[in-house]
Amino acid sequence: MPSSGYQFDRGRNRVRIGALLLALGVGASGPPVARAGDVTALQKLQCGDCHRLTPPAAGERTLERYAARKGPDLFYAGSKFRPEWLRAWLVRPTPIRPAGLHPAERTRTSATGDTLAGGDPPAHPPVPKGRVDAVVQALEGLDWGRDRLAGGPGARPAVPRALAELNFVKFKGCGSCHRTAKDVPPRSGPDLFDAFARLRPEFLTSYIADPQAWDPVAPMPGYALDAVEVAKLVEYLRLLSEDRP
Amino acid sequence: MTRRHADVAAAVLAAAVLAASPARAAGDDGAALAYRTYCTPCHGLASNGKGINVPAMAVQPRDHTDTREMATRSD
Repeated sequence: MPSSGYQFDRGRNRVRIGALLLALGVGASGPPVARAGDVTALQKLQCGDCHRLTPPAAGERTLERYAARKGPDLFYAGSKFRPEWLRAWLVRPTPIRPAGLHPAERTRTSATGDTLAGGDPPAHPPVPKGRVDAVVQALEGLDWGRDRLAGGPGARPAVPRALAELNFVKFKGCGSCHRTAKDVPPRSGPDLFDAFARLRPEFLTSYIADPQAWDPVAPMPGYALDAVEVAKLVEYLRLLSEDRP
Repeated sequence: MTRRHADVAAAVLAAAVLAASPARAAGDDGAALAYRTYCTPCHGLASNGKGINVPAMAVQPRDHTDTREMATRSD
């Protein structure tokens, strides 16, 4: 479960401590520990077949590459995901994008309007429990864009739940593409009812403020929101996380 | 105008072209892919304003195949 506030860096501290222990030779006789940035664990599971693990050159980040992807880019997974969420999700994956990575591929047209064909998108293969710690540690080392997280989300705004929802769904229009509850029809964007448990708050802040800084061809529009407006949206996602059992 | 806005503007223009002449879908300069990626979730694969996100929207997306309506829009 997410922490109640915005401070979260225990996982990152574990990586730092692990790296320090390795540097000091501690644990050399124990089980092998993946060092941050070591993608061996990911290569063993062939994650690179579907996910980009190394940053493409700026000129490579085209719409054609985006449309040809089999899975989301992971070269900034360490900047993006909460490690404890990764640890749980990788063992028992569930769909995050109800319309799939490329919604148009699964869309069918009818006289009454477009619908999605084929139910849930294909499930991500589960990672064996014995490997998940090494995988998470490897993902934590993929930290492209970490410099964009500097400063963090700042103070949490005091915004009533009803107003936060109205702002998110209607004023900013986020509800057009993102679900904030599971029991409604799928939409084109990733589900957000568990976004605060899934994503680092500082990443949410940075991504909402400027999605194209993370991916130049990302479908999510950048509205040039100021810090206060971004914080209100992050706060709504935090409030949503309190709905979960 | 940002690059993405330019892509979207180009894509909307492409939609009008494609609606008028579907045979021109091949050989475009990437506008059709931009339209498919950015516009179809709301405006629909058939560009008729009936995309998969419509049930969640407060405003009906514009029907890009409605030439009379689109003629009222600036380039």
